[in-house]
Amino acid sequence: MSRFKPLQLNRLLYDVERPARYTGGEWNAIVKDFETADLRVVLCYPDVYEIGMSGLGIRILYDIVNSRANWLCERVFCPGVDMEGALGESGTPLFSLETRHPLCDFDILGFSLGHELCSTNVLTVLDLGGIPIRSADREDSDPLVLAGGSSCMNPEPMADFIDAFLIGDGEEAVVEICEAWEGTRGQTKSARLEELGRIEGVYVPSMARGGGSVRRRLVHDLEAQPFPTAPIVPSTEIVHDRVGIEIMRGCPHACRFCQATTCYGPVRLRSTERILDIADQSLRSSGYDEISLVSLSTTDYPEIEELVSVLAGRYSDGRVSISLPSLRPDARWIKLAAEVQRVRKTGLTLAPEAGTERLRKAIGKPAGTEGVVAAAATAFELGWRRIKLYFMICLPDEGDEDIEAIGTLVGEIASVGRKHKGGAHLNVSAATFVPKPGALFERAPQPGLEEIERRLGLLKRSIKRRDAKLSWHDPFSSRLEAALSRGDRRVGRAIARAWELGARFDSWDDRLQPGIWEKAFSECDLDMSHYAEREIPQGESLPWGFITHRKSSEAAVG
Amino acid sequence: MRVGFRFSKAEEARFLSHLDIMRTFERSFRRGAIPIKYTEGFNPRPKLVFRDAIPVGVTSSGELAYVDLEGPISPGRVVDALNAVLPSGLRLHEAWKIAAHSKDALPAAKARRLELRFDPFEAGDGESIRANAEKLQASESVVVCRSKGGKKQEIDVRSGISEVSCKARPGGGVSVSALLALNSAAPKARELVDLLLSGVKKSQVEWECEKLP
Repeated sequence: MSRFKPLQLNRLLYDVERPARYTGGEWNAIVKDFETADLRVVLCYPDVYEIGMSGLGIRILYDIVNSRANWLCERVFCPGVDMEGALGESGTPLFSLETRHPLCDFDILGFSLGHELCSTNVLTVLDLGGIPIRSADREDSDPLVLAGGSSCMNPEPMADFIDAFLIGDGEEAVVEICEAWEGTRGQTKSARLEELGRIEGVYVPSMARGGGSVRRRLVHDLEAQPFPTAPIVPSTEIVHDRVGIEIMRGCPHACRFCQATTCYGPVRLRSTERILDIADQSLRSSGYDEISLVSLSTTDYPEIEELVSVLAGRYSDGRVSISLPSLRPDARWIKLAAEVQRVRKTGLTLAPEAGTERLRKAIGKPAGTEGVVAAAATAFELGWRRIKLYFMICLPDEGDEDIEAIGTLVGEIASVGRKHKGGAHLNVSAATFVPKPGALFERAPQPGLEEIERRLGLLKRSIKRRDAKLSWHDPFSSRLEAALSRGDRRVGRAIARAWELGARFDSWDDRLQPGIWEKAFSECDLDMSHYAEREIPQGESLPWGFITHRKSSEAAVG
Repeated sequence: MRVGFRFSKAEEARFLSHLDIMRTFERSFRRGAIPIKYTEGFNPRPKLVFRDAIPVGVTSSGELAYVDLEGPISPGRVVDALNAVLPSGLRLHEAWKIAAHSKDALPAAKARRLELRFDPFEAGDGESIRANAEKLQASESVVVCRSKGGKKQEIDVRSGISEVSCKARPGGGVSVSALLALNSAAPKARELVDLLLSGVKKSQVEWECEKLP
């Protein structure tokens, strides 16, 4: 198939929302000669451009694959519903951003699966790209459909659609996969997949598992891993429009609702020198004015004060701001905040998660209530006015009093805030507990839909309007996420059926169509409650139980 | 020091919005290591001003803007530095010093000239487009529907159209040149396209819009 003339593409773009999602041409995008490349890879985060470009996974792998002179790596994202219609009507296949080639012309299509609710978008991308949605229907000439990312901790619901999963860290494995795929050219697909299956961390659903288990892939020395220093600068606005630098992988805490302890551990660090170097090169190369230090728990980076102090010193007059998501509200944090306030402030987030100390302890997040209020008070004193507070409801062992305590806590923080000039703007975000594969709570039940709605109502009432702005997800969205997170291979049929019925962008509350999903599950003779609401007994094997994780070893410090 | 510059928005940048272009320039100045002055106050903004609003979907070779820079820099260096770091589709053509405190930093635009090029789908399309253009020129009132704040409004944009002329293109296409006023009483680029393509199978016609200097 040939490349599109710009004019043909234009006709589609005049009538869609945010046409710049599809035009590429961004600064630092790597455009190579499609015809002469020995291996052609296209990476996809299955959501719209402005969400997909906000993550780090694709950016890291893009750089790694492109660093080989004879390999080519491009990007594609899920087209909006309007563009999907325009592509379908005009018979135009979905194309990559860099050279506008149809996805079916590539050797490998790799999905970054960060969210179970993006599952139907994966099917949209496959279908529009000219690739059969089911692995079983693909020919030897179809691209290898690969997937990685946090949702792969339970790959089973997507097993019908993905030829090979990469479970765990991608930096080294992606190179091995590309080499194996390049090296087996000309062989049958099953022979090639068998070759892939020998790589540690790779799970090929169509093959019997040798030894019955797949070991999660780990890179031991994060310091030695490549990290982009010339980040792509989107020409149009994206959600996280800044230089993101991963300072630490894994998390030292063991919050019971979180997958990270098992799935991203052990903790591995990048050195301060390396981070400063990445920051310097990235800012010069991109022209961005904001850096975000990305990790699951920034205060637990051993030298965080020194790092922030140096960054603040370097950039305080260059108008570069430093964003520190994921701070724990403790004494350490207070020292840190004093450093960060030297540069332009971005918003501040605290995640108490539970309303009472008792429940916080039960979920493994032992922050005393005074500690939380003290941390907020310090923030106000140091000049912050915008604070985001993360809470979670429907946790195991939760009672109504725990939810009401959230309101009390928010009220306390708000009243401290009112003492300061300008008052406080509190944004409270309430997530619903979802049992995730690999979390200590992976077998715990999620309450039924009505109960989630009841508890959410209780939370809404306990937070007085004048105290904070409350945001939450549609309860059905959390229920569906639970069903997909803990699903087995049969759930794949429901995903395909929901997609056929028109499910798209299910992670967006205003696009989620509960009716379609209820219908899809029921037509496939499956019960969402079975996956979401059950307390799974200890003895029962789990669909993702075949994935093994190494025991924690020492953190590697560069 | 204040520097005015003229830049073009070509094919690859056609679908960038005004805000996209502002952001892209701000970052390009940083990449090119040319320090821009910022406003004082709580939320400093770069002192970068575009004379006209830049619509999505329209190319242009004559967009004008000015920027306040820290320290003396030759306008030639601004052009070279920026062209080395602008993404494809955006390019500076010239830059010049603007006297401090000069009242009109950039020559005021009197009107906007758009050229629309159509490649018709069916045999009679070219004729239909010509006829629509002639009708526009001849009409006393031309009404478009716009939504403002959720409510739909009907606006007569005829007064904003000073001139509409047609030319045949090789291959059976039509070129329409329109001179429009610079106010809300003039049709937007997309509205003009819809008026010219009335009665024609819109989704099949290839067209593009360029703003002429």
